[in-house]
Amino acid sequence: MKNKKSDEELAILSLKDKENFSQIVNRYASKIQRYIARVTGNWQESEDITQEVFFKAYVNIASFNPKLKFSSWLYRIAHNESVNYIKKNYRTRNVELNENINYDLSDDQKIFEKIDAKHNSKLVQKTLMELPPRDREIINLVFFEEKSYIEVSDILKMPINSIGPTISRAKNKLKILIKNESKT
Amino acid sequence: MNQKLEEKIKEQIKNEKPRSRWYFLTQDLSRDILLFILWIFLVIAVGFFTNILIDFQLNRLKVPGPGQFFTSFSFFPVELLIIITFLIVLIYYLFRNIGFLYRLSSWIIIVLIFCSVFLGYFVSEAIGANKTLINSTIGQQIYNRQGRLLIPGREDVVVGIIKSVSDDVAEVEDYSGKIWQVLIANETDRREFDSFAVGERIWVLGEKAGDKIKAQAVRSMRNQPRNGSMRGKRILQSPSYYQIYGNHLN
Repeated sequence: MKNKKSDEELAILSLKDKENFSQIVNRYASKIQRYIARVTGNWQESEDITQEVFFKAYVNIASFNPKLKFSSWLYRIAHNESVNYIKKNYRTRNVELNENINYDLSDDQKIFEKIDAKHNSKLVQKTLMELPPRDREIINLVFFEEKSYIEVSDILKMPINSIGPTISRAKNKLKILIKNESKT
Repeated sequence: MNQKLEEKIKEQIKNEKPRSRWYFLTQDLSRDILLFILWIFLVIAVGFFTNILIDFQLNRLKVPGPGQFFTSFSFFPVELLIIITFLIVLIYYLFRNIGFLYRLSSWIIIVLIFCSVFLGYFVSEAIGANKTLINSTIGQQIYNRQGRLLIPGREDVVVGIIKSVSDDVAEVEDYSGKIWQVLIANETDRREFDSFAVGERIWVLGEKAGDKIKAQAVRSMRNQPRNGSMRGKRILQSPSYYQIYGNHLN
């Protein structure tokens, strides 16, 4: 049986053969789309943003540093694109689109349970959208994408030692928001 | 739906080619060169700033009167401090984009920048680069622009008694008996100069050249003790003290 190539190997080989990049697309397209949808709060737009992410990843594949995890590098591009989208649409973003994300993210029920088993995914998703973008993204990466601190540091380009306190603060904010939301 | 997305992505990159490795190598190299040039500028700026502060400290002790703080502050090189802060911020952001340095705490990065700049400063002091630069024509121009009234060279202060005075020049005799031509220009801080009279003891800060001093600031010492060591213990003297008793130094 043929050995499955690692992401990093595929990334390096993508410079020579486009087929290798297609395998990366197959592995990550849905994950990246889900991540973008959670960060931006817009499932419909997430498809276009995902396409842009993979386009940029392919064009700039030679800049990938093999010392880094490929997924971190790809998530970094997704993060940048999401931030750009949020900045552009800061004033026009509306919360009703969250309903669509819930529909598509229903298979994430187990991960939602990790945050708070008593609350359903809709409530968590709604309250997550009320967090500041940076906090929201860290929660997404650590609890939904199950990334390590080093990976989060590489994706958000922030110091490793400030990730723990940021998560703790974000969780506290989330708890308060969920509490308030449950009351209403 | 995802299958559709994957197909769309593959379709989008079908006719695209990745940028070459050289493109990114050039980009990284340009960034590193920029960082190095900015670092050199920062070391030079810190060199100037340190020298100005040393002069500031030396001359500040000779600034007479209760307005010492304000006079000293008017010499403070604010522009240079802004430039240094700007360079540090710029270097900090460039630094964070090198390798995996972003993983480090911001404080460690700031400490690294400070250590590297001071190391650079001490090296340039040791090899005499700072001195050469400050004494060069362009160095003097930069040096003299900072602090507006600017700190002149070290010890460029004259304290003495007015022998004669006109609109733009005063003859002052210092304690060693040397006569100084104090040149007063438009840019001179001369807030008290117009009320000066012959026999008055004054303090002049400026650039010395031979027996002339181009004044940058002039102050009366009419309310100051003559003994520098008694600074702070104000002994009030009449403005006409020397006119009444004459110049006791002669």
